[in-house]
Amino acid sequence: MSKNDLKFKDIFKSADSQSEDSYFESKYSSYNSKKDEDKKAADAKGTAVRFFMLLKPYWFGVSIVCISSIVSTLAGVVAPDYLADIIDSIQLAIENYANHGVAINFGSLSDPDSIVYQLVTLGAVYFMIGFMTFIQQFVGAGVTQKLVFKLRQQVNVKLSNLPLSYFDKNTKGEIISKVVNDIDNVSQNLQNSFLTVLTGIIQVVGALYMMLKTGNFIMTFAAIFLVPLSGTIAYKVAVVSKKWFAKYWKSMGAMNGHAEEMYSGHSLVKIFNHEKQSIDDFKIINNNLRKNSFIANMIAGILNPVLTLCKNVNYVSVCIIGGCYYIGSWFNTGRLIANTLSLGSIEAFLSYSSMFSTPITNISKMINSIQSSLASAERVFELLDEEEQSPDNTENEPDGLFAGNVEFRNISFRYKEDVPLIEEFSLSAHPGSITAIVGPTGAGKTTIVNLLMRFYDIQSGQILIDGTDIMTMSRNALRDNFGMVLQDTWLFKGTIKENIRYGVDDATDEQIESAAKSANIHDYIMSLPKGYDTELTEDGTNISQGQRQLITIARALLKDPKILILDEATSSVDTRTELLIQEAMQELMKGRTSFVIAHRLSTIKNADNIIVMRHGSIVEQGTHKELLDADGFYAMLHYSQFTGGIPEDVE
Amino acid sequence: MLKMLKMLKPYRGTLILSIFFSAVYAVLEIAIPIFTKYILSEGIISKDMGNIIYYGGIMLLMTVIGGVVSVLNTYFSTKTSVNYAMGIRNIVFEKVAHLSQCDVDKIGVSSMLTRTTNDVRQVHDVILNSLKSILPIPIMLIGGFYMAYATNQKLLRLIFIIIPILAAIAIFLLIFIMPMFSKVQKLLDKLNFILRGKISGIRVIRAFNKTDYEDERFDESNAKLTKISLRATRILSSLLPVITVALYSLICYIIYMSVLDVMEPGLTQQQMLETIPNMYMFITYFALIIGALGAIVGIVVGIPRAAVSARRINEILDSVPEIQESENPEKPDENIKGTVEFRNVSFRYKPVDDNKKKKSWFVRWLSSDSKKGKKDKKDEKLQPVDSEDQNEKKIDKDAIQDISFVSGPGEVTAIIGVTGCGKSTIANLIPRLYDVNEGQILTNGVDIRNLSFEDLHSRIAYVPQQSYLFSGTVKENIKFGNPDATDDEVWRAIEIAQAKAFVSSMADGIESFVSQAGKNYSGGQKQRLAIARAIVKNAEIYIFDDSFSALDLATDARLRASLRENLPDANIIIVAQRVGTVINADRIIVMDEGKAVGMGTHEELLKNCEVYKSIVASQLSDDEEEAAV
Repeated sequence: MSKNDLKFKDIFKSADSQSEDSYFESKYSSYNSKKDEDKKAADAKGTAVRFFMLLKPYWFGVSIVCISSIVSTLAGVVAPDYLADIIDSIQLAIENYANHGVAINFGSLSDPDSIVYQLVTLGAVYFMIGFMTFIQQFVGAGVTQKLVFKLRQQVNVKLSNLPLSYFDKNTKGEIISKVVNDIDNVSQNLQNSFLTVLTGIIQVVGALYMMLKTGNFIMTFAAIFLVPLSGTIAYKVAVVSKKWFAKYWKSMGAMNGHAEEMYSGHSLVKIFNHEKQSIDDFKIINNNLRKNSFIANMIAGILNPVLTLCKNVNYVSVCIIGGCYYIGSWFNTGRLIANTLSLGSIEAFLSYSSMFSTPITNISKMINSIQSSLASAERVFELLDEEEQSPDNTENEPDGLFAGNVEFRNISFRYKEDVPLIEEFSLSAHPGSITAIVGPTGAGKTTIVNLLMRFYDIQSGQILIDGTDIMTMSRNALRDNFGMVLQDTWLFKGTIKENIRYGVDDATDEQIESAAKSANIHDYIMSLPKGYDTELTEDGTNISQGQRQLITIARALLKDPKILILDEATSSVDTRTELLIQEAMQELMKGRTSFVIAHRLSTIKNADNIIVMRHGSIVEQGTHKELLDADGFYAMLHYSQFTGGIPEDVE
Repeated sequence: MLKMLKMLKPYRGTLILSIFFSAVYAVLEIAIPIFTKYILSEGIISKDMGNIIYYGGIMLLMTVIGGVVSVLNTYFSTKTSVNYAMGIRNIVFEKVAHLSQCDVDKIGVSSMLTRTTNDVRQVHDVILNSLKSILPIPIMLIGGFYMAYATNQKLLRLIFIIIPILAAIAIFLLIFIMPMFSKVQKLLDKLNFILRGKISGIRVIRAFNKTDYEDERFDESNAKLTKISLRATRILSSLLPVITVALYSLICYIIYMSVLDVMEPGLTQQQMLETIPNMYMFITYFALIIGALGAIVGIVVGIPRAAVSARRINEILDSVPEIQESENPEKPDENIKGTVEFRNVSFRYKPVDDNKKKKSWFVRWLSSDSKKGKKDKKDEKLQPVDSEDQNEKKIDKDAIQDISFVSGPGEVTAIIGVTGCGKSTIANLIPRLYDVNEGQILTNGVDIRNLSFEDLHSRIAYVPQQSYLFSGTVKENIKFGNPDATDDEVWRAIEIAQAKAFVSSMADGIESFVSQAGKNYSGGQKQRLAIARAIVKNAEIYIFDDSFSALDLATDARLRASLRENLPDANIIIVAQRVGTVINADRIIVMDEGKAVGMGTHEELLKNCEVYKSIVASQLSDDEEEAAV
């Protein structure tokens, strides 16, 4: 294994660490992310704006949060004054008591100058702060959670509307990471960041207003002259750290992607002795994650001390200039200053100065979370901006189900623009008929099904059902007519009954059982201790592949569709069972249009029409007997299973 | 939680430095305001410009020092934190890599994923935030208490009223908020799970017009998640204002009490006049103490969610792999290569036991966290097994029963039988995806349970029923079987697997892109790539678990012919459905309901095995049968 280790490192030896990032990240993330990289940096502001636009439906909650924050912030600004007033009057009273023996009179609540009145007022102000903070937190939590709910919902709906090609290009883990990790990250930081910024802005504006109100511009300047500098630094740092946070979340997605694959292919990893390799790969991605996280946090971490320095320089300047005013001359030069300031005013300026710069420091402390949230939000937006499948056209929306006349008219389709797949393909099928499609692997058999069900849209030609172009009706109306069993059996975690019932919500237990009987899986299910209530595991690994296929067949049969598609539906089922299913289905196929794709020619011998496909087009067509008599490609396929070989170039 | 803390050990160097610097920073934070006071009192009020500049200078100098300390603090704490997070993730991933397939099934891939990423983040955030304040808080507390005590002993009693209140709040949090966070993480799992299903089953979901249903399912979980998170965050966030109000009221009370004190008889004039400055100072120190206590509450508040996550991670770390590697692996005789022998092997699958974990979250949390853990496990064992469970075990029949056969190098052993008869089980037992219940499996004369995993797996090439490909390129996928393979060897494997035609027809050849699970390839193409992956391994034993099912008959036949030709010495075990696939095997084992009902060559079995005869009859019509024989 040490050899492998070396080799793996060799791959990256020539490249710098940056390309290590991109190797895994491009592997596990959106295919077009590279070219968008530059665009993204420019979009930082856009993301923030868009993010706040999401808050629009919650304007009421948001305004309550805003108002309560403003009130509590203002109360917080006033409270120290009240406290100072009380202390002043108490000091006076005590001095009077100590020096002149005048008894201290707390006074009564009706007298606004009394100590008790002042104390109660201060208590009220404190209570106001607490109460408003409570409202702000309570409502704020509601807004945040609702927004996150909405965001998750939007992403989910988006996933429902994305074309299948999106899922071919992105790993499950990466997509899931966006919904779980990124949105969770947004939710955890949103409220705090938002409130810090909001109260910060209120404080800054308030302090600036108070300073300007004094009319002393020199002092005002002394108090804030470094603020533009610290603002600029903060902005620059924010931009840089955002970039690294974006990288951080991207590596998080890459890690999720890798872990998802390795967990899914667990037994393969084990049997091929690939644990070490898989762990090493994980460690590389994890190390990228660590690096990106470290840099992002470091950049943001440097900001705080710089801002504190700026803040204190301003503070000292106010002291010095204020001192000059108080003393009455510029630095003992003797040049007198008119309009000298009182001690109280200087103190006021000092507190304004810190009121002005503290929020900036606070916001900068939040920069980590804000940037991290924005980076996450951006990844979510990226998903939300993916191009959706073409909208449904309902021009010829059918009223009910079709009879089932299917016609392909000169259709062409390619997954990749430069690789032709289906070219000028035409075919028609009628209710009650079985059309079999055979041909070597990769001939485009499954693609025909994908097109018929509009998983992908054809690029030219027409597919008509009962004479109606399927492009002119909604996908749902179209798919209502189909029952389908695919090559990839997909079962979900839940009972067998739930899995069979998937197609028809209101199916009775009897209907489910009879479908299972037709699929020849009933006896097996009954042999399980819990019967139809047996739980299948998440990936359905606790039953065999053949049994999975039988369950999916039962599922399709239960739907009682007009058009039945069996794409290698019985490939993992033994032939005796298959025969039994076929017998049961003979009955079921009556009056339906059936398409059967199969490798086993025995499966399709009874088909009314056998289409032999090769390189995306039809090379032969007819019944089993006709085709054998023609002694062409089909006949060759048919006899080859016993002779052990036809030349490989048939593909 | 404790276990998670122990994992900090490798990073103790940077951790101690970061705690140290955070303490220094805390001291400076407390000190700087003192100098701002001096500027006022000694400078401005005394009209002494020299002092203003002097103290201003000191203050700026301390700010700079504070800045440097803060950067150092950030450096070390970030370093600790990112290394720690990476460390846990590596440990978790490594642990999962070494678990058996059945262990992974138990927790589920989605939950495994949330645990590897999201849960690790929760734990690491909280632990590091707490550790950062581990020194500053005591410094603040001790300093505050000492100064407050020196100023006014009587008022200090107030603090002893506050502490139990804060403690009560903390306990309340632990009891009521914990289960909520436990639910939150579970619901995240659920969302993860629904999404996984949605993505992997997308064709079926769309074909059955189930998108709305899936969306509803998602919305339902999403709504639940929102509701519980909302409740939890609301309770948490309401605490802060409540505490604030309570403390501010206390300040008002302190002022009132101080004034009353002045009027106590027997005070000198001087003492009276000192009341105000003393009161002022007391309030300052009081605020300091409260700040420290608040910070403690803040940490406590963070703990519930982290504890829940920690428990979930521990569940992975504590799980013992179902399949254990031998501690003293034997080395088989290198002269024997590629034999497989089944000796009276029986096996039954364990039922999925969903009743086991009905114990409340709280008990489990406690038990996973404290010394009670061991005792608790014992209890679990002593508990009577649910009667249902027992029934299940009794009813659940053997998947395979009393199977014996020997297959040697250069031989082909085929296993055939109806769906669900235990064919794949035999294939899965050889690489120890499961362990036998009775009997023995030997390879090269050694019980496979006495071989090291690496040794055993290096002898076996396996093609699963469902061909899973990894995202990457065709070449990467094939080299998965043998990382040392050259491009020529990769091509050769592709050729043997009958995949050359389609691989070379793609523009990028073996560098062509493969999406996750090979979704961009057809079933037959995937199978052939999975076969090529096994071939390139050059193993002694090849296991094909129904791996030709998606191939057309011609390809199937060619593939088998080229396998035999190119792997003359390999022991090939094929699980199959088609008679055509097994017809030329040296030994065909016919399975029925877990038992071997026939064994021999095609001709032998046609004579003496009814089940085999009926399988053949179902597949070959008369003329075909003739052609076959």
